[in-house]
Amino acid sequence: MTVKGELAAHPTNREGHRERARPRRKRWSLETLILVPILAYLAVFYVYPLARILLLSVYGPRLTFDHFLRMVTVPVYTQVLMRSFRIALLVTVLSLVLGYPVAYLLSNLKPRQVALLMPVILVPFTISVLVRSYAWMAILGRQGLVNTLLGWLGLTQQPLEILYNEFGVLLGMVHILLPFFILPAYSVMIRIDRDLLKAAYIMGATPARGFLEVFLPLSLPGIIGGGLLVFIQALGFFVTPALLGGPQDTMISMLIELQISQLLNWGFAAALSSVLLIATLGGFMLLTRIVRVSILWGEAR
Amino acid sequence: MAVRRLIGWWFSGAMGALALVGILSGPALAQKGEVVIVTYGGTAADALREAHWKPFTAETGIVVREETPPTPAKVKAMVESGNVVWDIVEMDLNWIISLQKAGNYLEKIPVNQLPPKYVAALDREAINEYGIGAFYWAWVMAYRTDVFKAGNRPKSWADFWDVKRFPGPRTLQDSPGSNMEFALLAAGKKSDGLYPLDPDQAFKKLDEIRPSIKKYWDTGALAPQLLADKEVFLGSVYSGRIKHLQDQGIPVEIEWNQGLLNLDYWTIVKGAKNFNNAIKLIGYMLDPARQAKFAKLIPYGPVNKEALPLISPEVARQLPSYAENKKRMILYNSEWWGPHREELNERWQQWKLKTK
Repeated sequence: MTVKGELAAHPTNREGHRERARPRRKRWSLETLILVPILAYLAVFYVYPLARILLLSVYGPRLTFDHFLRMVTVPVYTQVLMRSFRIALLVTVLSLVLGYPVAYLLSNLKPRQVALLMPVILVPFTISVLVRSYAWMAILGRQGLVNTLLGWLGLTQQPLEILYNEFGVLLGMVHILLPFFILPAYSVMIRIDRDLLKAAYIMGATPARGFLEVFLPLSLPGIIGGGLLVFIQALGFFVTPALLGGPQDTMISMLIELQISQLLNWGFAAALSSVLLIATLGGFMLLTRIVRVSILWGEAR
Repeated sequence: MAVRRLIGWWFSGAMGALALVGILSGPALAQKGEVVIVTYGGTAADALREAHWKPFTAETGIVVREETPPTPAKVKAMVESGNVVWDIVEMDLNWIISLQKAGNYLEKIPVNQLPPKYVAALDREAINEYGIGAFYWAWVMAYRTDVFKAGNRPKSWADFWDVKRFPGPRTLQDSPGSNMEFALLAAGKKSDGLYPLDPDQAFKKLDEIRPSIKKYWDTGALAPQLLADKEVFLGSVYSGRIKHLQDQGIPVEIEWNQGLLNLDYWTIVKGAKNFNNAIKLIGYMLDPARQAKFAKLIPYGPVNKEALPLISPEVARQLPSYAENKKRMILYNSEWWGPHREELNERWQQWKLKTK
């Protein structure tokens, strides 16, 4: 599997050190040269539009903070933002609970077994989010797969209400975002030196204690990396909650879409987007206070 | 140094690729003899193509290029960036008003350049400064006939609100427009005095129906889907979407009484590259015979009054502009909504969040 190969190709810490120890001056120009296209790409297609959006939120036709004032004074915007955070947090926790054991299992398998199982996780990636969300509608509906089956078996008298409410949203979002947790977690776990666990057992640790005190802390970068990927994506999710959610499951992205495509108030849409961006960065900052995020990019612990 | 040369090659290659992307994605040269029309696609576009576009190309040699879907945001972006690739865009009056309020994004329609005999036969509301009527559609009530049997069927929005006589999950559009009108009609307002709408009274009435609304539909396809899957037993729908279900044998029926009549317009984007061809095509589509053919293919109402007599009664009965249907409906008042849309959308979003 190529994907596995890529994941495994990350340099270990030790190799990283060796690279850093080399003399730098000569490599510098080469490195810069390699970086130029991607930096130019980011500047043109990411930094510049983002700056325009931030500007649009306070300027048009003249400097104004009305948009931000409206966001604070009209309760619906903060309420929906809080809801979005709640859903994103729940999705992240569920992905962690469901994804960690899967990643753990994968990391303990032989490469050939992994090659068999990895497609199961990756194949859903090849199907669009829209199609997968529609598929859930067919499965969860009153006359859907689940309710028909339960009715046949005589387990339920009335169809279960599992679509068009928060349950449906969480199920759909976790299904779509789970691989984003499993893959980073797995890539960290396969690099954990299993001899450390053996050492713990020799010292008299039970398997549970060995896991909790040796394996779990070492897998933390994977948990944080995967969790962040899931959380940030979940915060801006649009299609799945729109299709599977009920009347109250409004996400902030839906209000932004309403302002952009229906009401044409781009200034206000930009302000809403800016707040979402700032809130996301704020959450990230908060995380750096709790854990050392630098372990994500492999700084020596 | 081999590595260095390699990177040099790679670098120039990457730059070349970037340049190539720039050239390829640049504005395509405006060709003579084409017109770009933007509609919602699907079966409506199939009908438009069959009734209007194919004969238009055959007669004039002008190629009709189709795009989908129309969004006012894209019109705004195109005009602002100076890269207008659309000519004719289908949109309702709400969007025309929003766009012209936000700036100047649409061309004025030179009515004197359209065939006078067609213009003379148009309904009054089909002629707007920035658009010419495309076809009528309506928000109507639709229900499952296997749930509500003959003799006990909802006939008004007061019935829709009556959850004791007509129990079951319902759907409404995810928008204050149409829902506020229906709430006020359910509260006993007369059709004549409906506008200006009373938001306080409308939202109070909406509170009553909230527990029975299972889902607010956002795209026009969702409401018929909910009815077909029996997720809801009744709801508001776009009138043109029900025939498709009936053709599949799904037991659903439309109640035209107290429906909300609206129409889509053909508009021309400001700075459209094929302005003259666009005017030609818009004029061509006003022909009564072709409008009749279109209505036979999909149940949307013609705007040319001379088209209706050309349609057989059984087809005409499914059209929103059929006299029997039209007189029981209310014309949606976009002018009233114009200045109220933003504020009432905010209030709608706030209202939706409240728990039962």
